[in-house]
Amino acid sequence: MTENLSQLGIKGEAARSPFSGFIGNVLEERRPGYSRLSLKIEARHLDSSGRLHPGVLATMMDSALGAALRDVRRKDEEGIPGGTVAMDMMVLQVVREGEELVAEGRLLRRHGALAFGEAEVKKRGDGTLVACAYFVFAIGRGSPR
Amino acid sequence: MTEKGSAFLDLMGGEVFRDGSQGVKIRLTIEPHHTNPRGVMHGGVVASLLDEAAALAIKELLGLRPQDSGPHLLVEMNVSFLAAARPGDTLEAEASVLRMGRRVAFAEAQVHRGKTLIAKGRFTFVMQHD
Repeated sequence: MTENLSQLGIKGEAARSPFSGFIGNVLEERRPGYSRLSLKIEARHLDSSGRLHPGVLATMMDSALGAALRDVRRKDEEGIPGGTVAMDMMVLQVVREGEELVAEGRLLRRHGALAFGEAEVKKRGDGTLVACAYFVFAIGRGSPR
Repeated sequence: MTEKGSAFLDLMGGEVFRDGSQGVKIRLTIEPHHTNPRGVMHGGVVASLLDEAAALAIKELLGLRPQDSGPHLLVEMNVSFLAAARPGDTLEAEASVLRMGRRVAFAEAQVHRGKTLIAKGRFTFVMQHD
């Protein structure tokens, strides 16, 4: 089932994932294995050269995939510690203040305690690819399903 | 002695400092707003610390100050998240440049909580000279 969540805004995202909401991400859509969020780039998101800090891109994609994985966990896995295990990110495009970005996260495969996923960030409007990444998450118990 | 880093490091609450050893380091104490839905440090916080440390190492090698603009542009980063951190933990990040060429630079960075290695990253930068 698809949830349209954009009306919840930054406060809703902060309640879901504090750091994602803290930087200003807005979760727009989520369904099992997929999510989309957006961020308007402001001066506080920049590096010392006046360009978007790569950590913001990593945060957007990690958050998008984390949201996509929420409904992939089984009920008996609630409360089991988990998180990002590995990330490999490429940055293809410079982003500056005032631009709006959209991040999408997708589950590729769930295997045992691990989930494998991909994410990408594009510019809102012309769809220019800004960054992409592959992730490994620890999300549950060990036996393969 | 602390120095100014990027606007995003400032937003996160991190500070750049020197402790007498070679190079600059970053310190951040994890607070509740740095966490993910599971209540531990968000992966984006770690990635941001690692990237900032790698950029600082390149600038240091070029004789630039932490707050200066540099010629480096990140094109690839690879991060292994080795241990969790929670609110109240104080983390330190440091990096070294593996090779600095005219067009490409390579660096690696680590984040520690005390003696525990929390994360390790490898970075590739393209160098943009005027």
